[in-house]
Amino acid sequence: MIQLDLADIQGNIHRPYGRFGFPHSRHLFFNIAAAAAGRRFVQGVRPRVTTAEPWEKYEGPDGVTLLRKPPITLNIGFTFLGLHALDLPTRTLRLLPDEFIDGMGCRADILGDVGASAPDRWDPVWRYGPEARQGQVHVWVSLNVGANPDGSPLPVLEEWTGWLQGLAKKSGAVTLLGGHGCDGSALWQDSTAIMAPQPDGSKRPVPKEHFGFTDGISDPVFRGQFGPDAEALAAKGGGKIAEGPYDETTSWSALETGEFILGHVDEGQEFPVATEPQSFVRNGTFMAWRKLRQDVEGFDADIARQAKLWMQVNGTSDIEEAEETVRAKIVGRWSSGIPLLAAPTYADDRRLVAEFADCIEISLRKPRDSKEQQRLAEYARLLSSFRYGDDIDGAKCPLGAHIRRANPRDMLDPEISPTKGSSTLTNRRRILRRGLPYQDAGGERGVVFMVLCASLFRQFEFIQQQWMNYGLDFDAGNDTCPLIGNRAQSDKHVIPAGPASDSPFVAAGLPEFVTTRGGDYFFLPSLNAIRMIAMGTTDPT
Amino acid sequence: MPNLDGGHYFLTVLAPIRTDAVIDKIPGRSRSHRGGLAQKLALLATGRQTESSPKDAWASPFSRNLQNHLARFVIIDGPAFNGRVSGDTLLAVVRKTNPLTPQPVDRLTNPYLLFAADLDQAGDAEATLRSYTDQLWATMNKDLVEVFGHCVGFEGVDSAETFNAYIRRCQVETTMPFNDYWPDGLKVGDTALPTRPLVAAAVVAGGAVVLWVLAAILNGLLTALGAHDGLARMAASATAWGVLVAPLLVGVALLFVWGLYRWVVREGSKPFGTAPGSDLPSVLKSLFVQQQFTRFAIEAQGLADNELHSRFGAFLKAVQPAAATPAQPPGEVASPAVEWTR
Repeated sequence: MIQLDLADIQGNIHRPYGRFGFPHSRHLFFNIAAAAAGRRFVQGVRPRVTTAEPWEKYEGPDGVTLLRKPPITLNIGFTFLGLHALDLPTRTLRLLPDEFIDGMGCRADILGDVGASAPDRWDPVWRYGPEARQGQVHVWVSLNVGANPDGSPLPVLEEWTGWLQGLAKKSGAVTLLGGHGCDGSALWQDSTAIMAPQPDGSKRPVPKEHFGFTDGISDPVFRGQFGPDAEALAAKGGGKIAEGPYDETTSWSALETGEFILGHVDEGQEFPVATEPQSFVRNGTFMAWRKLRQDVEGFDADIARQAKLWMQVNGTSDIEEAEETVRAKIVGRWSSGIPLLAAPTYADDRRLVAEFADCIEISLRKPRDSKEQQRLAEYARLLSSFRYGDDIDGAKCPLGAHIRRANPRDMLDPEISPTKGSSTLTNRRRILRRGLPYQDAGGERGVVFMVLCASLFRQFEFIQQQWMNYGLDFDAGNDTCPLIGNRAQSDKHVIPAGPASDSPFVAAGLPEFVTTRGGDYFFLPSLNAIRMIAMGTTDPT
Repeated sequence: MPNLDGGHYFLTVLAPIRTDAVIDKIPGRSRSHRGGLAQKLALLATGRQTESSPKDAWASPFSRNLQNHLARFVIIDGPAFNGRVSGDTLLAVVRKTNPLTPQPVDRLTNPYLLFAADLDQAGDAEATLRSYTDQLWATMNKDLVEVFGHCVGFEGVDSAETFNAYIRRCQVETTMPFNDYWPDGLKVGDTALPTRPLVAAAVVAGGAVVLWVLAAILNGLLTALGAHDGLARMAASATAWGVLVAPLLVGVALLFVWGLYRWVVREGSKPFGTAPGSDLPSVLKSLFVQQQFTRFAIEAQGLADNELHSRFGAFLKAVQPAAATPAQPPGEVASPAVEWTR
């Protein structure tokens, strides 16, 4: 068992806030024109940074809960240019990873941010070129708040936004960077969980994204993230698969901490490479912040087109089933979140949705009794605990489907079989995913997507380049991810015959459904490192 | 090697840092003791170490006593880890070592605060430590309470007595102290290893064994030749006696070597004496004299003999080389200039 210093780790690493009762999120970006002013600003923000300490856990002598859940959370990150602007020592700066120094815009070729996703077409705030309207992005601050019954954010969001603006102003040379949205008129980027209207007129956040899929399932699980029991439970489906004969109860274990938090041993049995001094690195991590536009109308239209052909090919007539099946074959999960491995056909999905209907409601409230916990655990197992040794030829879940590309589990094991197969080749390519959907003033919809990992190069960029925008590891040639891939080289997705269809099907002529609207790479320091930045005491000697 | 050596006491303290959370009244706010401790240590005054230090920088609280030469706080988060220990690939194949099976990694259950200091001896080891902790408590107890308050078991420490007990509880023996105050080397003198009796013991034991072996060979030869004369009888009885005498002599020699070894260990664990002028007041005084004398030497260049004589007299009067004061203040990088009559 690993005991992490949770009070030293930023809270957004451990918690997807959207699932913890914070459906509203605001992302603010700042520029630092003078190091001393920057340090003053960081020092001002520092006391309010949310840590990974569990809430409601500590009890005082009189039974009072000591650490209560806050109404609002705050987290902070820095780009390389930001750390440079804050006058960090040259040694610390130059030993940082290359991709982090480059920043996301410079890595466009690797990330597949080309064509409509190219950096020169991003929201104005991200354009630093010679015609830049304003300064570079140096600091990211995110606020997450709960919602009123009508779905609107709690007033504390405006209060804290005002406080941050005041802090920037007071520090002298720190500027809040506007330029968000396609017209660049927004001062910050908001994102909000999709709200479902309730019979009583109130609104409740649901874990869906704009295409209609259930999002945020099966994040990796690392050692020290939970207590021992919760870790064992979450590792099934979220962890790594050991070598040897597969047994669901014994094969899964949590990934090493160092894959997601710096300064801890990783899957390579070494410390992840970051910079010096170790005290600056330890308990921090890297984040890719991406604003991804979703062409919802385009997606729906193309699904309808593919579904018609699907019915023709398979000789079926249920349009709803055909549309749902094509969607599922693109993603690897049904809209409900149930994976194709657990429900290969639409009928299976409907049956399981009905069977676990109570779980949605249970998952949205607290406290829960042990029976309900048990029920939720069963549901979580249904959603995450599966392997591709059960579907080697992609009959259930196509080889090129989104979730197979994002997390291939055991499928790259050369000795994969129905009885064995390990995740060894993919253990170092896992990422924590955070984020919420957005809808900008002009109606543009998408998701603010955040990737957290110890090495953006080895983990995030590899997945993006080799698995999302290329298909060789999945015997899919140049095919890209049918959901989020670009279409520069290929625009098809092969769906083998299987339980859901007698004939193979090629979804061809797929347009780009997702385009990048901006973003950058950030370092999320530990609380200790934030203090070192604020005090100017980072000393790599 | 003991804590006390060469007139200096080498104090090593490892205090476990608390892992319970520091919880704020504001919902959701908590900090770790480790974080609080790191902040406190970062804010501990270090004095004017360089030209870029603030002009009014506070001196280190450790400069308030005249016993410690150096004092150091370090937070130890975990033991060093240099990655997987890989060996010979072929051997690994033969042994069926799976490189994917992680090797054990050592971890600490909680971080530790290292406090290390070297002090001037004041009486025996115990008295030295006591005089130091008493001085620390008298001169910087507020800082100490803040620093060690983040450590396990510091509750109830509120006096010089209890602080000394706490430090002793967390103390680990310094097994490898480093003494840098013998610039001309240490005169070993009569503590040299007595090699002569060692040689004698070796000659006696070795000679007995050689004689015995020779007698045995001779005895064997003569027996084989069928000789029964006086020489043969002598060889036979020498061989027989040798069985008894030679091991005895070897045993005596080994006993002697063992005694010698014990003597070496005993001598080795005796602390070295204090190096001349190595206590902190003397060091501060000599630093002071060096700096003032450099100034004197510069201004005395080219002076006539009588002028030089009177100027040196004035210099001695001002600098007082034999007296404890004036001297360089502790915790400073340079002495203030003193003036003498010109």
